[in-house]
Amino acid sequence: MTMTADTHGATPMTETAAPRANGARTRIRPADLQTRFLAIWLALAVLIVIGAVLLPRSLQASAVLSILPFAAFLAIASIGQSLVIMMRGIDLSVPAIVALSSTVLLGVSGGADAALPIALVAALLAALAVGAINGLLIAVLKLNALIVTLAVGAIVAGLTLWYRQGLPAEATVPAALSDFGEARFLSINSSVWIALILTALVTLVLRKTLAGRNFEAVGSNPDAAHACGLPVARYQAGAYIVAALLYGLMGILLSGFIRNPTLEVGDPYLLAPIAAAVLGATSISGGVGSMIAVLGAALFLTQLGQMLKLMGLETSFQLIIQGVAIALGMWMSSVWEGRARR
Amino acid sequence: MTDCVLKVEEVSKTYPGVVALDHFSLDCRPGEVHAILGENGSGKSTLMKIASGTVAPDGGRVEIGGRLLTSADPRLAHELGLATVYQDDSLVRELSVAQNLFLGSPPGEVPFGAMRSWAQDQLDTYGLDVDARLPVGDLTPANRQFVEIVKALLARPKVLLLDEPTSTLDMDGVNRLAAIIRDLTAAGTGILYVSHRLPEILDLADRVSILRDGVHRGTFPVTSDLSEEQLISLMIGRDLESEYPPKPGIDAAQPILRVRGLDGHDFHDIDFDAYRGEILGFAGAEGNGQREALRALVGLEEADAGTVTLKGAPVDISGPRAALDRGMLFLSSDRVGEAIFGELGVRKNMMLTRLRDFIAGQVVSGRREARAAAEMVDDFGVKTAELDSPIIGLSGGNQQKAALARSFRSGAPAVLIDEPTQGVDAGARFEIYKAIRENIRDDGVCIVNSSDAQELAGICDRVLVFSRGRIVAELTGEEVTEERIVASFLTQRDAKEARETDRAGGLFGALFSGSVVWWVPLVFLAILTLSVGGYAASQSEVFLKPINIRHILLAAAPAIMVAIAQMHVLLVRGLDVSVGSMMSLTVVAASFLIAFQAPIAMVLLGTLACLGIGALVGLVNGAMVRYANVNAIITTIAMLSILQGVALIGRPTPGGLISQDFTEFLRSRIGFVPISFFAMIAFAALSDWWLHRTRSGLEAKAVGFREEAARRNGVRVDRVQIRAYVLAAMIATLAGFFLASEVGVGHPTVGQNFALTSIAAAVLGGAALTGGRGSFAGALFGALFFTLTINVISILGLSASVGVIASGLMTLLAVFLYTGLGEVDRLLKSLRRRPAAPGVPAE
Repeated sequence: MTMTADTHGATPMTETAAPRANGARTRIRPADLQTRFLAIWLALAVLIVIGAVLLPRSLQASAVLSILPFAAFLAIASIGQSLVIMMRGIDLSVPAIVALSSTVLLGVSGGADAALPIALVAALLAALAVGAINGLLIAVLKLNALIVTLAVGAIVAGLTLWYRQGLPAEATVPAALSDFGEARFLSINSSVWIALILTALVTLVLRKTLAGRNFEAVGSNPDAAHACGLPVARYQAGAYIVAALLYGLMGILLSGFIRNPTLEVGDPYLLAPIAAAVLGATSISGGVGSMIAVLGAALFLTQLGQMLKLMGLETSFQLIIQGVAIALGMWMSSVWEGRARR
Repeated sequence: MTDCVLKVEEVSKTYPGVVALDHFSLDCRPGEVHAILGENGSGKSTLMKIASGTVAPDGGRVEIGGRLLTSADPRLAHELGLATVYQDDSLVRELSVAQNLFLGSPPGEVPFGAMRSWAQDQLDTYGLDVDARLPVGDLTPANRQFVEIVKALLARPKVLLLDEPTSTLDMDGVNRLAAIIRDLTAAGTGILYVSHRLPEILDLADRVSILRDGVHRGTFPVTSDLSEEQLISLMIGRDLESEYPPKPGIDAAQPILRVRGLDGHDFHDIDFDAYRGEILGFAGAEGNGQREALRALVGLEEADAGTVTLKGAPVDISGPRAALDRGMLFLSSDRVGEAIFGELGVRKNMMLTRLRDFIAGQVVSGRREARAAAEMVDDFGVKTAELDSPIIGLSGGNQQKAALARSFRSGAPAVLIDEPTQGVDAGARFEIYKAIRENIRDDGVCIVNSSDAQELAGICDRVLVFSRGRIVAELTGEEVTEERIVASFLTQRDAKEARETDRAGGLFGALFSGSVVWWVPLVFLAILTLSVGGYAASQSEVFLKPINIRHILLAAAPAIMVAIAQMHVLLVRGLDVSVGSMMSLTVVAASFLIAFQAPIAMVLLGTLACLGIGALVGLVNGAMVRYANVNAIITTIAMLSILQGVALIGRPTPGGLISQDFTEFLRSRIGFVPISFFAMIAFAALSDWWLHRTRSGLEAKAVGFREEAARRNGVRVDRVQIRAYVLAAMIATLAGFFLASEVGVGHPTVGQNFALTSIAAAVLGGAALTGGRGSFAGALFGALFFTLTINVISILGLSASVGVIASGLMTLLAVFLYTGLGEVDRLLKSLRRRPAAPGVPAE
């Protein structure tokens, strides 16, 4: 046995440091250029090409403009859901919160423009309250997110039903809100602009602020974040609260768009935001997500639904597509994460 | 040599960034103790895993008892005659000793009913004073180790792998183990003995092989000529003194960190000072409270009493956040679990604690941050392709360097590091030592806990030795040597306390631990049912009428079945949200396949076809969860969407009558009680019999409690899990039949609320989301209570909204009672502790 110097041990630290002396120039790749977040835009491009060949109608300006608001509603709800998923959670109370804010808006405003500001505040506060309850039960009492949001959703739906029974059946939103819902700037619907602004805002907060960066860390590994002195429960609860506010806002915009929302107004948003979040490569193991990719996923799902409709298929196919998309997106995500480990 | 019981030839294994084993060969003869000696991370555990079939080597072959291990399959290795005693994690702590031993016995050898007496016999054979009825979690670590050994010997192996078997044993235990080993070798069993305790090896082994950095450094017969010093130099293979950074003299006059009277469950009366610029080591045999004491300094472990002051200011040790406020930062030994942010990039990992430095206005300055990150990468020698590469892709050593960079550059004067080089290859280790020494702040201090005495000797200025939770020795200056450290904790280990593990105590303890005993939730449910029923009876005359009872029991049928379905998945620590839409789909399918006025043959065929659909759905769910590694919740959410879509395509609106023969059959009754109710009681009882009285049920529980341990016991984990999803989907199909008999037409969304019902009912009945617990009878009563409450609400004339709210509230109540209460208890405790923690030390 000889005592040869160990090859690993012999490598001095300075040797690796030398070629990196210009460390400041080490390339930083913006998160959104990562393949995982690009994939959905590629998929959208493929979808558009397919549409151009097989269904030129789906790409007519009028068709695109008519579906954009729906893509915007989905995008707003999906950003909320993505924030929750980034925190390793899941939120199944979306339809209930959307219906709640929409119903509170109807009830408080009574259809009068004068009462609109207070109705908006009330609707958002109601959503916020539900988010706070979700957050408290999940982040502080550490209850299972799926069960809590499902149960809280049921309770909220019950309360909304009870409240709605006291309102006239054909209640409509104040005219000012429905005008806004129809309004277009640069020929694009107001909701689309709001969705774009929200996407930009949330992206900026996540990337560029202390809170955003800490949020990512808590989502990625709550135990490590706790050991690093971050207030884990606060960020976790915050995700549900911000998400609920986004659902509430989306409920308001959607109500303005359709004027006389029913209790079922939120129903399409139980699974679609999860599908969009997953297709937007939000990591289910937490911490990693891009709101821009989620926006792309919302566009993708909406355009796909539109194409199905134009092909004469029932909307129920949308549910199947969503399910397959969720499964496929998750599978791809696990492949990506597996590759990152290699 | 053909008579070897174990032959390992030229095996290699590479992990990302680390060559764990490099063309390693070894053999073990019958009746021989062959010791494997190596440092932490030298490849010992990889060797064990390859030999026992848990890890596939990149190349090379393994022969057991002269037969080739053809695939990396622990079951095959076991059948060929190899048994392994692991350091931890191969016993299911929630199950009893007898149950654990039973799981380790070959199927069919021991009748289930004779389990306890058989297990007690086995324990007595080896002179173990352990009651086989006790849960393994209640045993002392030493007794757990012996139970592991007894379990491994059940199969009368040709070769036994012992991985650090003495780490939890006291002197008496070591002697007992030696006696067992001598008996075994006398009977011709070969033993592969992995350890880094030299005296034991010299005492027990016939030959010793030395591993360093994955490379075989030679095999030597153990003779009186072989000295500890020779073994050490072979094992370490470098001139120690020159590799460790030099120690500057420390001025002992200036204490920076003062700890007084720190007391907790695993540590007692901890008093010490740490001086300016010093690296202070915590030493001790594993499990003597040193790790807990270190963690308690930042509030990651509960301390009942004690004060900590840093630079004269009291430190609040109620939690890491409060401690960091005062300048104390902890770096955990559990790197992936508690120290790094795996999916995030290297830059984000390193910058977390110092982001504030780069804030301009409200915004983090990307450029300045990147520059600082690049500097840190250079300073700490982190080798990474890009600053934003996910850190999980780096080697352990580079991950650790990045984590150290974060800790030292956080600005905290006191940095506490638990196991600085665990799982780090030898090369990086010395860079880490250097980094620690170079980065201690002039006015700061660093405390290192390590199980590696040599490491402590190399880097520490002073070492505190722990034994049984107390500091028993302090070594300074020239005394800080590996020999002195090991000697001081070895001499102290004469009488390890036999400490029983705490049961959940405290304010809500009794209720919280309720679901541990299977009948407690049942009693709780019975009380709830009686009070709700009693109230309803007092308020309404209709309630107790036979027609209403019959109505409740009929309505309960689908709920009971779906709760039983959910119970199967919860048992193995899964969750199935798709059961509700599975029921909807079944109702729709029945409206086609079991249509109105269909002949009996068609009804039967249709029923089978529906069950076939269920089996297929369950198979897809199970395969996604197990093989594609997709989270159970997401998988079943996707399935929910697909099934709901298919149901809606089948019947966009309710329509299509279902065979009356079929529905009448399911609603048939004796007197006013539906036959289905009796059938369900029988079904739940049968399922409980399966769960509590068969090996297969025990395996399901073991998988739920602790998957890895179940796997090591030879349970086919994948099969158990997939079976659970298939059973759940098929029983949900049955639930769908009962629902169909109620609605009578193909209604596409009728099942959508049953996912919630099923979870709530199973959890009310005692099922735990953490797996393993619960009973089918509990699920049945949970569902019954659920249905009863909804019925009472409608009978009392309350609005439908109240029923929806009540179902949500009951679900919350259920999860809160069995998991939330424990958390409330913990929160209350920490609130009570908080004001007491900080304070001025009594000087």
